Amino acid sequence: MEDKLLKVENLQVGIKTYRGEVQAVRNVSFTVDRGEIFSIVGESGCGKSVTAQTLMKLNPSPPAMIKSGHIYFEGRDIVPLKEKEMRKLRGREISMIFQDPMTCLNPSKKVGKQIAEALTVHEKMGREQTKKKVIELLSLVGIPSPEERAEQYPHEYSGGMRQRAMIAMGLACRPKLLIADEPTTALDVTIQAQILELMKKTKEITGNAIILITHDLGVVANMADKVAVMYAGKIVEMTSCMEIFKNPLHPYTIQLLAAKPKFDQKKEERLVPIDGMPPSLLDPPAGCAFAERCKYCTERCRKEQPELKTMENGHQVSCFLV
Amino acid sequence: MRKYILHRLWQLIPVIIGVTFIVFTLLYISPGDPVKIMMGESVSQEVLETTREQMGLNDPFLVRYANYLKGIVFDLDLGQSYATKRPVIQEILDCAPNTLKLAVMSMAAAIVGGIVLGVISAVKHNTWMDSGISVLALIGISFPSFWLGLLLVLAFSVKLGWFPSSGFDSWQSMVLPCGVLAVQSVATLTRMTRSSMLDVIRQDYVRTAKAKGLSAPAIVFFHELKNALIPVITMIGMDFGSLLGGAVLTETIFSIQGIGRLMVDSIKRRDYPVVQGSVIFIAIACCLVNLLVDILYMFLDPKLRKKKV
Repeated sequence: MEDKLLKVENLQVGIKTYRGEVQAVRNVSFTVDRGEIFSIVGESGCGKSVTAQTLMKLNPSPPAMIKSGHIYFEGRDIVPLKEKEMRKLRGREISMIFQDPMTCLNPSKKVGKQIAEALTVHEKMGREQTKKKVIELLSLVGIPSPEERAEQYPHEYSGGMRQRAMIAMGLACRPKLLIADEPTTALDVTIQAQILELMKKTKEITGNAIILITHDLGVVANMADKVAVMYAGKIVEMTSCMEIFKNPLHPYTIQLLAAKPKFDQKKEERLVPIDGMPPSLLDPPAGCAFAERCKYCTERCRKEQPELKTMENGHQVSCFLV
Repeated sequence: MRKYILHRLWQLIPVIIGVTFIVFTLLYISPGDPVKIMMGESVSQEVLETTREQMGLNDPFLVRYANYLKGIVFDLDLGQSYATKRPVIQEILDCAPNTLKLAVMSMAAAIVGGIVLGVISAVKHNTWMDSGISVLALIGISFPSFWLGLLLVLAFSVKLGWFPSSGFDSWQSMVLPCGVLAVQSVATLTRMTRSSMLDVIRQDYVRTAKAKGLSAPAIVFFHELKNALIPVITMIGMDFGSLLGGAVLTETIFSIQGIGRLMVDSIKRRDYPVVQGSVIFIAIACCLVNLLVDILYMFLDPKLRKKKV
């Protein structure tokens, strides 16, 4: 058996629009180990959600399509797989929880039924057994009086509880990989912490790996083993969680961290925003995508694309200056 | 649930009283002397006066209205037809089954056809199938029913001889009138279902269902359809209500003795009690259909179930 759970190689995803093709994901490669929490951070529109959904081939196609690259899940390339085979993976081997729990549950179906669906699709379970399992899952994710709650509809749940239910649904078949696409963005801060704690706790129990998509560096610091920073459809820096906060190398990461408020920040100190806007991915620049906004930009940066270089300690970064 | 239905039935009473009052008033102020209509123009003044007195036509407006209401409530008596001298309720009950059959059958066909076509159209969005169905729906909406009716009679009765051109007693004779009525409803329901499904297809919970590993048909049946049907049900209710009011044109073309035709004939004859009776009948039918629609809403949308009445 392949030791890497997931291996993404040179993934390129394009999305056709009326104004041309958006190159949402440009040559992304990374690996995820079993039981690891791998975090992808980046600002809105940098391609992190598209990357995540591509791993399950959930992007509607057309308009989105994988142009090149491979996604090896347990050694098997899932890019050429047919829809029917993908369905066997979805929910059973890889499952996903989404950003907005308010809209991600079907409003006209009981929550218990929606969780049970994941079980009945993949595991031929009897009705009684499924019911028992659903209640077990609901109590695993910390929903009080799960017997009653299973019979309720999503509108009777609070936002945090809905996300808990989503996690229960995601973990129903004990997937090896759980993709969490900004799972806490739509929740308020206290609930955020609870949900993250819950994801950590359930990971200890089920041993699944997590790909955590977020734009919140606080969440990353709290959760991740490994971090990839994405910018304009590319991974610009990838290393361990400790390293990224202690020793960021890419100018974008450095400026991103500088723009984050700190605990011991003095009142007079202002946050340092990154000037400018990310480039349009309809027509990505020839050189480094960050060149326009970079303080250290050189002539070469504008002409050539920097490769992702690997440092001695395994820290990867794509910048000519490092 | 039961409490809600009882509450709604209770609410029907003021609605029906309101309808009777408005209809009664309108006919009261409309011109024409019922006695003359009944007995012809050549009757002597004396006979006219005594008949008026006998029928209570000389009583003040409110007294007449109260008597009318009393008749309805206590004896289910809607008055007597001026033209046929039969009780109005009898006239209506003679015509109602035909209208009901026509409405139920054409609506059933329209619901099946409309929802199936609408779903196909939405699932195959922006393909030739979608465009084809949309064009057909547009044609269906644009056909006036009297013209379509005549065309169908020409084709299937006169030329091919498959179905009779009039009457309403065998299943063959029902095909054409139901077809005419169904075409328009199919077309509107198709468009409604399509746009509603397209809305639902883009919802996040559909993506969730896909991420669970459900197949495309399973997603349509278990996740999309129920949510997409809510606006469609409204449409069905409205269509069905108007069909129960009688499809005057269709009933006339195919010589079906239904409520719509009864009402129009009575208006022509100034047979006021029958007009009144049919309007009240139609109003009650529409109220009941609306109630049915609201109950279906509760079935489809759990949020409505908890609401306190």
